[in-house]
Amino acid sequence: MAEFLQQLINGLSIGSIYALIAVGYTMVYGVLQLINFAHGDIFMVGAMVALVAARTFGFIPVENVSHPWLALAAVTAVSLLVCGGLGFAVERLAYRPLRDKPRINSLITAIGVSLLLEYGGQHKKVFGPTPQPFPADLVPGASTQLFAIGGVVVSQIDAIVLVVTLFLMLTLSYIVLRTRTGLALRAVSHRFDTAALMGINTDRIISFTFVLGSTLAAMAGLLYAVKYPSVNPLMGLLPGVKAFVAAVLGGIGSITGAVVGGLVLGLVEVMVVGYMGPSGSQYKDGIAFVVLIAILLVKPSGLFGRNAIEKV
Amino acid sequence: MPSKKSDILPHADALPPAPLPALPVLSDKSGWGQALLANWSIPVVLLLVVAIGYLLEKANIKSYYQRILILIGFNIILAVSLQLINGFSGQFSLGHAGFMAVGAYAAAYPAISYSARLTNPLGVLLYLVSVLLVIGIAAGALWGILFLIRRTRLAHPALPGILLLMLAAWLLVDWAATARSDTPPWWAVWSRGVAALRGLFGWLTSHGQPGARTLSLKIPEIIRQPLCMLVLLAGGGCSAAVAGLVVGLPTLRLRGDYLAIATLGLAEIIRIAIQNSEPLGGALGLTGIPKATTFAWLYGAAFLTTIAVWRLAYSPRGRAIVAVRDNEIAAASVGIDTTRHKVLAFTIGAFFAGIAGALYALHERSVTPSSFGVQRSIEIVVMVTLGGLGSISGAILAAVVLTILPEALRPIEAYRMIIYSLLLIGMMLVRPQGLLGGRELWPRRWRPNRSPQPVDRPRVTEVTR
Amino acid sequence: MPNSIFQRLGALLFLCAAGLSLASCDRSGSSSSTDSATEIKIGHVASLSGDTATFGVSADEGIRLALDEINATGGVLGKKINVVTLDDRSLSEEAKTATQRLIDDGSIALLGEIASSRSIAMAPIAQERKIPMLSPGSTNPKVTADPNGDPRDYIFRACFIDPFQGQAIARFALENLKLKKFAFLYPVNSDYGVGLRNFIGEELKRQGAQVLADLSYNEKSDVDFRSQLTKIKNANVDAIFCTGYYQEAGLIAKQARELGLNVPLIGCDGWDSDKTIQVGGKAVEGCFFSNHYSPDEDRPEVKKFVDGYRAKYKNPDGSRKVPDAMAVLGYDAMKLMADAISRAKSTEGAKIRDALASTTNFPGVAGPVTIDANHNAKKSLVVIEIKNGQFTFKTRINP
Repeated sequence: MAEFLQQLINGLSIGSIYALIAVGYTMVYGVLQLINFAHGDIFMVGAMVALVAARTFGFIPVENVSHPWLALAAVTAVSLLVCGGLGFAVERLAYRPLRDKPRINSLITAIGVSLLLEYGGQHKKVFGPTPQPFPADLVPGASTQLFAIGGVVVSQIDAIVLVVTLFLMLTLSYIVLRTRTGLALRAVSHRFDTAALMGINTDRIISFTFVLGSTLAAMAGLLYAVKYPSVNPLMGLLPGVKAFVAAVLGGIGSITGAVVGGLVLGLVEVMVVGYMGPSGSQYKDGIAFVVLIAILLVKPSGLFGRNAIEKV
Repeated sequence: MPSKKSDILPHADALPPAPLPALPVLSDKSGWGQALLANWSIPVVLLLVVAIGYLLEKANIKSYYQRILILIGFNIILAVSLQLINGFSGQFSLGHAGFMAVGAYAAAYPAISYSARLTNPLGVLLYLVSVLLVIGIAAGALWGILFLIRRTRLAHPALPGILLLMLAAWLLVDWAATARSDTPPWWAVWSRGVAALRGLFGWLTSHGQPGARTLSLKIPEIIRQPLCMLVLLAGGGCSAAVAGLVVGLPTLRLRGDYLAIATLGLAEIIRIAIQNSEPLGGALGLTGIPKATTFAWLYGAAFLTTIAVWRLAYSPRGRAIVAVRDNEIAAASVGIDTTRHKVLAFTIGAFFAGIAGALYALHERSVTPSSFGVQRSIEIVVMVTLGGLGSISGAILAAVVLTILPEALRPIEAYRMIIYSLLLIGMMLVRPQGLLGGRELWPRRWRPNRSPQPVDRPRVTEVTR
Repeated sequence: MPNSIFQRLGALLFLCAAGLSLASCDRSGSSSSTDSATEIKIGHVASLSGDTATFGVSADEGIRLALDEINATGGVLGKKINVVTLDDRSLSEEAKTATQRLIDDGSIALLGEIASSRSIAMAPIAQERKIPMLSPGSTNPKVTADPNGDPRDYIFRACFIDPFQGQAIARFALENLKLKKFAFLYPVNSDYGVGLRNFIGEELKRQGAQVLADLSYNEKSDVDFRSQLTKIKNANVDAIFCTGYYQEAGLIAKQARELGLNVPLIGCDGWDSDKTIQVGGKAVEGCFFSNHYSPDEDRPEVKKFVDGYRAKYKNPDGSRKVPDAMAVLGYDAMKLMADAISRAKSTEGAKIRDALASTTNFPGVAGPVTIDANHNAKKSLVVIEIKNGQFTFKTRINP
C-alpha cells in the first residue's frame, strides 16, 4: 500500500509538470489549431535563460545570495520576458504570414523554428551542447521533504509544482472565461472570420495567446529545471511531445483538460513502470503514445474537449 | 510555349519529342518526361542504371561523393513514397521512418541469421513467408473474433462492448498468470495461442530451413545473390506494407494534425519496440549485415518507385485518391470508397518506405533504432513539403537538394543546422506551396485543367477555425 | 497566381541554394589537397551536436589538448599534426558520411567515435579503406570484432571493454563492499548501459549474488526516476548499479535520497564528470564508480593532463572545466595515435596499424595501455569513491 501511495505521488509529481507544459500547448492549439512544435523548445529556452540570467547576476553559487526569493523573482522575470518576446517574434515572423495557407505549411515552419532553437541553443556561443547544472537552490529547500508518512515521501518541489499548476489553471480559466480579452480569445478560437467581422483584432488576440503560451512554457521550464537540475538545449523535446499527448488526452483547447490530461499521463506512466513487470520501464515512453492513439480512436475530442463537428 | 504552363523551369513540351513512339497507355502527351514513363523505357532505364553503376564503380570517384549519391537515392525513394501519402492522398503522416525501420529490420534479420553472404535466397524466403504466415494467422484469428463479437450486436446492442471488455480483462489476467508461472494454465488461451504460433514458426524453421539451404545451393551461383536481394527487398517492402495496413486501418479515421501526431506516435512505438527487443539487438542494433546495395540496386529501386507512384497518382485510381484529399464528402458522394483509397495510398507508401529501409540496411551493414527516430520522419516530410505537395518531381528535387545542403554547409559546421532551419522557414514563407507547387517538371498524363492546383488553395475545412 | 514574382523568387532562391551547395561541395573537395608535406592529417568523427553532443565535445577537447602538446614539441616525424573534426549530429549515417569525407580529404588515421553504435557503423569503412581507426571510448566488444569472422585489423580502441569493466565493478561490490543484494537501473536506449548491465549481471549470477530489481530508463530524455526508485526501495537492496552516464547519475542519486533510499549507487566510467557532483550534491556522497584514472593520483601524466585541461577550457559560467572520462580517453587516444605514427616512422595505414597493434605499456593518463590481440586496450581500472564532494581513489583493479 505504501508503495502504491508513493507511486501515486510520483505520478502526480511528474504529471503536474506535463500539465504545466500542456496548458500552454492547449491555449495555442485552441486558438490557431496549430501544433506549435516549438513550444517544447521555448520551454527549454525558459530554463536556459534562467540559468544564464542567474549566472550573469552572480547568483551562482547560491550561497552568496542574501535574498534567494528576490533573486528567484529576478531570474523568473527575465526568463518570462525573454520567452514572451520570443513567442511574440515567432508568431509574428514565422506563423502569421502563413495563416491563410494550409496548416501543413505552418507545421513545417513550426518544425523549422524548433530546429532553429535546438541547434541555435547547441551552438557554443549560445548555451552550448553539454548539460549544465541548474542552481536549484534558488528555491530554498526545493528538494527537501515536505512530509513523510509511513514511508510515503512528498518533497517540497512536488507540492510547489502542483500548486503553481493549479494556480495557473485557475488564473487562465479566469482570463479566458471572465475577461473581455478572454471573450475575444474564445470568439477567435470558435470562428476566426466571424470574430474578425465582430470587430475583434484577431492579430492582437493571437499575439496575446502566443505571448501567454510562451510565458507559461518559460514558467514550466523554470520549475522543471528546479525539479530536475540538469539542463541542456534538447531538454524540451520529450516533455514537449508528452505535454502534447496530455493536451490531446484532456481535450485540446480545454485548460482543465490539459491539467487533468497531464496528471493522468503522469499516473499512467508511473503505474506502467510500477506494475507492469520488468519490461514496464522499457515501454514507459511507448505507453504515452499508446494512450494517445487509444484516446484519438475512441474519443478524439479528449476527456474535456467539446465535440467538434467537421463541416463541409 | 503557352505562358500558363510555363513556370520558371523549362517545360518538357519545348523539347523535341521522344525518339520512339510510346505505348498508347501513355502516349497522349509526348516529351522526354513521358518517354521516361512509357512501358518500354523501364527495362532500358534499368539497364542504363546498371551501366552507370558499373561505370561509377570503375571510375575513380571519391567515396564521399558516392556516399552522398547513395544517400540521395534513399531519400528519393522515401520522399516519393511519402509524397503519395502526404501529397496525393492528403493524409499527413509523420511516421515514415517507422515503416522504414520495419523494412530495414525485416531485411536485416534474415540476412544475418539465414544468409550471411546472401547465398540462401530460399532460406530467407521461407523465413519471411513463415513470419507473414504467422502474422496472417494471428490477424485472421483476431479479425474473426472481432467479427463474431460485432455480430452479437444483433442480440443486444450493448453486448459487443461488454464482450470486448471481458476479452481485454481476460487478456490481462492471462498475461499476469503466464508471467508468474512457466506453464500457463489451461484457460490462458491468449498465451497458449501465442505459444502455438511460436511452435508453428519453430517447426517451419527447423524443418524447412535445411531443405531450403540445400535447394538454394542448386541455384546457379550468379543469380543467387540478386535473387536473395530481391527476396529481401520484397520482404522488407511487404512487412512495411503490412505494418502500414495495420497502422492505417484504425488511424486514417483521424484528420490533419491528429493523424500527424498519431502516426508519429505509432512510429515511435515501432522504434521503442525494436529497441527493447533482444533478438533485434536492442539499442545497439543489428551488426554484420552483408553489404549488397549498390548504385544500380538503389537507383533501380528509386526509378521503379517513381514510376509506380507516378502511374498510380495519375491513373483513375489516383484521381480518386486526389478527390478524397480535396473533398472527402464530395468524393464519397460520387461513390468513391474513401477509406479504401486512403488505406491504399498509405499501404503503398509504406511498402516503398520498407524497400528503402531494406536497401538501407543492406547498405549500411548495421542498423540501430536511433536511426529511425522522429528526426528522420520530419526530414522526409520536409522534403515532400518543400518539393511541393502533390509533385513527384518536386519531391525528387527536394530530396537531392536537402541531402546535399547539410553536407555542403560542412565548412561552416557550427552553423550548418542553424542555416538549414532558417532556410526551411524562409522557403516556407516565400514559397508556401513548395518548390514546384503541385506541378511536375514534365507534363503528366492526366492534367486537371479545370481545377488549378488544389494544394495551393486552403481547404474549406481549414478556413473555418 | 501561379507566376507571381514571389514564387519565382522562392524557387530561384531554392535553386541558388542547391547550386551553391553543389558548388561548395566541389570546392571543399578540391581544397582537400592541403600540403601533406608539412602536416599529418588525422580525422576525428565526433558528435558535436545532437543528443550525445557532450561525448563528442569532451573527446574533442581532450584530443585538442593532446594535439597542442604534441605540436608544441615538434609534432611527429618532423611534421605538425592537424586534426580535422567533423560533426555527426549523433547519427550513425552522418558518422559514416563524415568518415568517408575525412578519408577522401587525406586523413591518414581516424579517431572516433565514442558511442559504440556509431563506431560500429564507421569501422567497416575504415577497414575497407585501410585507414587505422582508433576509438577513444567505445567499450562494446563488437567495435573491433567483425561478427562475420572477418578480421578488422585496422580498428583499435584505447579503452577497456565492457566485459572487463562489468566484471571488475561487480567483484568490487561483492568482495570489497561485501554486498549481496542488488538492483539495476540502466539506460535501455544506450548500448553502453545495456551492455554493462548484462556483463555485471552475468558476474553477479556467477558469484551467486541476488538481483532483486532490474529497471530501466531512457537516456538523454528521462529525468524522473522516482517510480523506478520506489520499486527498488521496496525490493530492499544493498546497492544499485546505475550503468548510465553522469547526466542521469546525479538526478538518480538526488531522487533516491528524496525517497529515503540511502543505499550506495555504483556506476561505471560514464559517471566521470564534475557534473555528477554538481547535480547530485550531497546525494552522491558515498557512491562508487569505476573509472580509467583518478584525478588525485600522483602520476606525472595525470597531473599534467588535469592541469593542462583546466588551464585550456572553461565552463560557460567562466569557471575552470574539470575533465570527464571522454576528455581523458580522447587525450590518451590522440597521444597513442601520435606515438604509433612516430613508431611506424611512416604515414602508411598498414604501418601505423602494425605500430598500434604492437603498443605495449604506453603511459596514458588512464593507466598504461597495452593493445591485445583483439585490438582492445588492456589496462587497469580504478574505483573511485565520492567523498566530501571529491572523487577519491578507492582501489585499483588489474585485468
